[in-house]
Amino acid sequence: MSQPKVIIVSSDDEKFPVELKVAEKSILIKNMVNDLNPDGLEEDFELPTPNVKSTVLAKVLEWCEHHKDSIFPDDDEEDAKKSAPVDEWDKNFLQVDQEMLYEIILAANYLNIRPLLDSGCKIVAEMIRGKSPEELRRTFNIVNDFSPEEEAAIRRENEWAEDR
Amino acid sequence: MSMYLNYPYSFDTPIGYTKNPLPKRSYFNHYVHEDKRRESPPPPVTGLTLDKLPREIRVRIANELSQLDSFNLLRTCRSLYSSTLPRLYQNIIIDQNYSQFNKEYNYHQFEKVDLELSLFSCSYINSPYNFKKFLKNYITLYKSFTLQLLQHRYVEFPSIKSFSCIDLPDELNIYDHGLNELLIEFVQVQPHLKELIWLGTGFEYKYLEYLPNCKSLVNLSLNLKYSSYITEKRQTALAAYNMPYPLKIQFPNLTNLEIQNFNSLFMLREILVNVLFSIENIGDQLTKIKLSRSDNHLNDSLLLYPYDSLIGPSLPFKSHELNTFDSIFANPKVRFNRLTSLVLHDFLIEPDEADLFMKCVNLENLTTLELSSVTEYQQSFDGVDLKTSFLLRIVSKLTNLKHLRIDYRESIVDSVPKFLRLLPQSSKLQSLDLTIRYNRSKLRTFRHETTLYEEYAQSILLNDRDWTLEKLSIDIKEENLYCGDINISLPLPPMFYDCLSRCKNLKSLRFSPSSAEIHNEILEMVQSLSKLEFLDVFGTKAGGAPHMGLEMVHPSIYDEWFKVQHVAMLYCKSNKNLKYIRVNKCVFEHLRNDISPRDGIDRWFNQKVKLGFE
Repeated sequence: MSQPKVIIVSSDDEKFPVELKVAEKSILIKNMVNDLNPDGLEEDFELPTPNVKSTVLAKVLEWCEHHKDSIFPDDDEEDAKKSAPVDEWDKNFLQVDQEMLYEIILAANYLNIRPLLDSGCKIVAEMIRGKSPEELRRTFNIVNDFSPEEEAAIRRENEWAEDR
Repeated sequence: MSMYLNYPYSFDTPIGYTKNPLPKRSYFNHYVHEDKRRESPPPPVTGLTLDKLPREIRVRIANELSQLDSFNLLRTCRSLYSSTLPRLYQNIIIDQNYSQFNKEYNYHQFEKVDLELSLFSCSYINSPYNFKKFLKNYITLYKSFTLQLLQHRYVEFPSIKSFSCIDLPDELNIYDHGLNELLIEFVQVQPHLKELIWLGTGFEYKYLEYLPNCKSLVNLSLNLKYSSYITEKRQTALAAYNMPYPLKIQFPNLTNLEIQNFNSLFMLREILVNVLFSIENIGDQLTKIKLSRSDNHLNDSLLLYPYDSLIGPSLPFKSHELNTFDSIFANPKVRFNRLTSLVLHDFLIEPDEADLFMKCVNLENLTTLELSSVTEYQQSFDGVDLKTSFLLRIVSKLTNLKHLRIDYRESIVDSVPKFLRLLPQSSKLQSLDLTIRYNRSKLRTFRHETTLYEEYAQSILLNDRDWTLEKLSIDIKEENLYCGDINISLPLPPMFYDCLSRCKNLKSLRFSPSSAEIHNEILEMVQSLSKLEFLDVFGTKAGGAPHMGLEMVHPSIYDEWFKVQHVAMLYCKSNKNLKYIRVNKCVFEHLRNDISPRDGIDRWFNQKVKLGFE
């Protein structure tokens, strides 16, 4: 008999049956499975994720599948590892349009998948890097809601950080 | 030709010019990198845009940015202003040697809150101009917040959690009255300060009295060199009321305390009694204590008693330099149960003080012990019948020691090799920073100086230390009555070299090579350490024989890095995994098949190869 699976249900009612090992990349799911099946998983187990759309969930589970055997540095590991650059696979995997990237980040945050959340935030940070406020507004379609006086004041207050 | 058309710089548009903000990495790499990454079109304004993400995630992203990038991001709109401002202010580091071009000084830092690490990026200030501007603006910002002038910006006040003054810019006049007032005002607006580190010049003890919330402070590191405040206060109080002046500062949640340059044991005791022992339950709270009579990082010592006065019938010292532990553990009823790190620099101790020490500290929790420039004094008439050394009395209790720095001065005997041998089996040393001290008086117990070195070499690797050690630094000094300490290079192989090449897990190594003539043996030893990333070689023989063509007549003609680059090259050829190497005072970075001279990263490099530089 094949191993029982975790069936994750997206907000639009699509069902994703996955191996327990894959689903457990999400600490939220891992804890829920453990709490509701104290004796271990004996049969297929359905779990709704009302906050995650099927398109996003498919992406997130693709990530979990790829990393099911990866070991991520623990929280008490050395600092250097945590500030390590995003791994190449994640970088390509997250090469999606901005809205999808944000949805993945939100899902990773909700499902508590720390390494995916970290990679996502780092990708966004990389997009921000080296751009002026005007370029940033253009890149991210941000509306400037400051008055010109406020803008000048904020610049003046924090000018020390420019550091040259 | 065409590749330069899209390039945003020209000879006439300097970097930093408003339309070209300075990218974090080298701008060249930056643009190559940008080209590879296809920029996706932004979502429509009505869709999910960056500024509409939950605050929690925007804060996370802000912590992945350098200070310049966060400065740019917070100027885009209100939502990003409110989520990015805390990142800019939470962790401030003042260091005049900081340069944004040195990638080693990372802005990523981590904070441990109940074992969960969270990103806690920092901002650097390196110029006097920016330092003053920062102080002034922060005070203004605080005032406009308390007056609720900025309420329409919907922001929490960006409180500073950690303020570290590593090295104040030299150009700042610390005696400037205006600056002093500014600093006092600045200290007054720190209600959430958790960490205050002031190791550079210019600290005044009185600043502490202006902290608005003593409960928030957890880490305190001070250099009192330039603070005459306590002495002055005492004198005025004594003159006026005939009573000592009470230092009324209490930090009930303090867990780490460091004091440098405390002037005299009397003063240290005064501070500890008022700051530390006034805390209820301090014994179950304090985890790190670091005390140093002089500047720890300069490795200097104020107690320069010649070795022949360390054993004698009468005290050659001023009385205020003895009774070290009586001063530190001024309340002998308090036992420090949770102490994990203890650092003592530049102290004088006697063997019998071990009893008080063991009574007041639970040594079983100690993972870091640093005793540097610690001198042991024995009262004895003939130099025979010496008491058992302090070290050997405490050694059996050090069951969990992981990091050890030892630079211990003794006369006639040398207890350190035995100390290393007797360290309990359960202590798995990861770092060992060892200073071997030889002086002629030790010839009374060791037949020859090499007998002494032999003892050391044999005791370093006991207890499986060849597997556990990741960091090793060996320094040999000869104490000379006429000219102070003389640096000695490692004795010829095999002695220490055999033991070094057995430490397969070493990531960093620091030693003084014996002689340029045996460079094959030395290179082979370095080659055999496959995990080695940092190498520091020093001493007269480290840079090869002095070359007539390079320096002899006019020493300043050639650059110091130029003179030793061939040595660095050789080491890097012998070990491909080396990342950084320092030859005497010159640091090189090992790049693929090449080495690159690096300046201004010595503080960082010292942390990698030595203990006591965190």
